[in-house]
Amino acid sequence: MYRTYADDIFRFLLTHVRDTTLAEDLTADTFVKAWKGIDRFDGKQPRAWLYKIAQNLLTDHWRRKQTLPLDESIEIVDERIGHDEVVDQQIASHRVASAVAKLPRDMQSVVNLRFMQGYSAKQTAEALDMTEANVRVVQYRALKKLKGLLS
Amino acid sequence: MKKFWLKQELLQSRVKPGEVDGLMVIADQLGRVEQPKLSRAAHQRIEAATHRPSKAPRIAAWSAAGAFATITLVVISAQFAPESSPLYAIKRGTDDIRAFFAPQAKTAQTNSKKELENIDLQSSKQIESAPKSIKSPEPEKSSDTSNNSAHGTQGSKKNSGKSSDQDTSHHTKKSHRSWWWDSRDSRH
Repeated sequence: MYRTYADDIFRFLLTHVRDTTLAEDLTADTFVKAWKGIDRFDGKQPRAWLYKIAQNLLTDHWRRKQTLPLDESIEIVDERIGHDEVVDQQIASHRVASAVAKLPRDMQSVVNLRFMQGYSAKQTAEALDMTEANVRVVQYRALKKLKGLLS
Repeated sequence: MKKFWLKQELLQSRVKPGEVDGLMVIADQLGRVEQPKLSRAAHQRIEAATHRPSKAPRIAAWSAAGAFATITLVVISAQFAPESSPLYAIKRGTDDIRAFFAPQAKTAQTNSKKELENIDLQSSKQIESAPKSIKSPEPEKSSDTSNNSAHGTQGSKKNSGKSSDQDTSHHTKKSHRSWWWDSRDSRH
């Protein structure tokens, strides 16, 4: 379960906190919490269970901070890629990530799972404890808002 | 395929067909955003925090200890096994191993065995020679008894092995010599 979902949970958290170290810490906390509470887990929908834990940790984190930095961007650099490609990729990623960061949290979650991680509407609904119809509505609104932000 | 399903979903959400293509472009851009992976250090940290020691090594250790104890018990009990017992093969095996690693112990053991055999032989000789000394100073009988004793030693030779060879040969020589002396006396 850890191997299957660790990276997904990390990306989900990174989309929200936009700090690699913090996202790693929260990912670790998510799995430690899941491991401690494994006896209470019924074995159904592990993805939804893990995302629920991650979301709760995010809420706790925001409560503690009381601030949500919106203008920072994710700086993810792959050193294997050539310099020009890195610049182009960084610019594109920077623009899109900055736009996503300006979305409300529920939209960020849907956009991350649905478009960045490639989950289906059903999987996204399971993970975020929403209905499929609700996911479709939120994704439409998020895309519409992003279009406005990126154009 | 993904695009097809997304288009279907957007159309189902009552999005205007002219608007769908623009949203598809945004979705495509989102899909191209590089997805980072959890670092190795973070993986190690999480694995260390959620590591639960397996029971398998403990079971393996107990089973190994049990097997060792059983084998030890069998080998020890085999040391006291009689020749007819199937465990006697184990005893012979352990003796061979002991001899391989400590040949001196083996020679000491064989020496003690030889000594015991010599003692047996001597005692049997004494038993045989006792009636001879009582009964007869006669030469013929003494030669008979010497033959008998030689015969007897041959019988014991089978049991005693090499160590008794010297004694028996000595004994037979002696008996031959007495026979020779006796025959010489009779000639004269």
